[in-house]
Amino acid sequence: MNLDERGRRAAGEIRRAVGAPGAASHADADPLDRFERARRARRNAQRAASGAVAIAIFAGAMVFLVSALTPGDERAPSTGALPPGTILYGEWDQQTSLAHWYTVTTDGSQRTDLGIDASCAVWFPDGDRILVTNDADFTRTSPLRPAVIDPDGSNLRPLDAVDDPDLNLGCGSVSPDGTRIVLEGFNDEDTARNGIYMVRASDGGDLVRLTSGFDGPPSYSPDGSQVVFMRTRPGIQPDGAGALFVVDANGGRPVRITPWGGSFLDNAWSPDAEWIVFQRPYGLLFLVHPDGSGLHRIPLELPQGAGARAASWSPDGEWILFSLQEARGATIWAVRPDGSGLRPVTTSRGVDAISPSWTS
Amino acid sequence: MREGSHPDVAARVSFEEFYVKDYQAVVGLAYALSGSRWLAEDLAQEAFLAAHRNWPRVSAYEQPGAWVRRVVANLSVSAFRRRVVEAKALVQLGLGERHRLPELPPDDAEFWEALRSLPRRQSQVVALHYLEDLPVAEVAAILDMAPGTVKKHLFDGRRELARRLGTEEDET
Repeated sequence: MNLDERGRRAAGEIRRAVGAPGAASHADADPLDRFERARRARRNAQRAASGAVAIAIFAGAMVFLVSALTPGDERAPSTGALPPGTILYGEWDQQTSLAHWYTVTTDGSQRTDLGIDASCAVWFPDGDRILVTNDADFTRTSPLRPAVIDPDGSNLRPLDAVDDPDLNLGCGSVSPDGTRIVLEGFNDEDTARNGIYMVRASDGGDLVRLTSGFDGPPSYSPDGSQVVFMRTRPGIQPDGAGALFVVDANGGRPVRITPWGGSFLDNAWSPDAEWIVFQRPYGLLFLVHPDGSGLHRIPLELPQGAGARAASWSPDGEWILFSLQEARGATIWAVRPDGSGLRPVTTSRGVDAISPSWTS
Repeated sequence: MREGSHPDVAARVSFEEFYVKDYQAVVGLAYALSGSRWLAEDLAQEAFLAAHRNWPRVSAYEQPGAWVRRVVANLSVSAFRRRVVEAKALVQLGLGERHRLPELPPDDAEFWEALRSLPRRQSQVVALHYLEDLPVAEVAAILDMAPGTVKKHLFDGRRELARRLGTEEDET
């Protein structure tokens, strides 16, 4: 069978799959129903984002939780204050296909709209700056680069000293001493460029390549000597999953620390360097030691129909923040590493609050 | 105001017709280019939501279908761009709330996997060539590139695809 015959047959199988009974596009009696549901969700999200639904903390959240959790749940959410600090998080905006970023104090007393849309944002270790992807300058002719902003969202400074138009530098994290940034590099035209890269935090220069592969957002170890990231490759099941790898920050051969198919997207290293928290497909939070031992699930008892993702640590290592995804949207929650103390941080309904990070 | 007299209604009806007519083809393109049985419909929904937001402008185009195909083609091939859509979709998948497209037979799955391993523009051009059997001018309109560039991507992409699949090209 020649190429065109294979191509026509493969195209026919795609059409058959999309139109097959059981496919979502076929399952709805009226295909517009699905679109209308998506559109209503977007409209609700916009209302919420515009302030119709404000963030409420603890007291208000308890009302929501009573209805969200089953009676008698052993891990019912806790009351009481989180340690002082400021949490950075994004709300997914379908208008821009980016997240709009906010900060909120852990006691909920102050929420700040940073006025920036970006794929990713994360605190610098000392909390005096925020690392963002500079999506506003990402065009066909201008590659994606990182930038830094002040904690109130002002004073954006591009970190664009690398002169390599064929390499995009996306999401990443900052070294503990604040001097280096480790990032996900990619080129959709030439995926041989994909991998983990490091640049200088002051200007984005001094590009160093750490890995080659379909490698996801990296995170530094607390002493800055190692980097953890997710690697995926075609054919890995379940869909979109990969494995966690650890690589020396000075280069070398990455070491796989979870089974293939056992991790999905985000990961974060605990401040005491003992654990890495990550999402196992899909919506389950796991911990593993950096050498691959001690793999176990955080025993979260989440509301029916909810999943967890995008976990990160509090500065004291006593709490894990994560995004709780439900059909109606996602909210930011906190839990202790042993699964106790589950509590909400944001409660805006109808929006997708994602990618929390915490600075003291 | 009566519903029928609302100024948006005429455009809305046109959008609905457009959606019903083009939805499955756009999902198919997303499936071929992303390779995801779970994500293809979300990518298509993103593209149609974008079309709906811009409908007064998009509907004025000669081929609104080209616009939505370009959006989904670009979204599907960029792992970075589709990440948030993917994260949300796959978490919901884990919750058992999602439908899945059927798996493809192994030989056909191999064909599309090899296509996805091509450079981005080549994979988009070759996918549109086989999925929709479009003339070069229409592929050029969808991907916003010159017809000559489409021809080159099609030539290079088919040759490389044949090599990767260990099969022979046919005259097109």
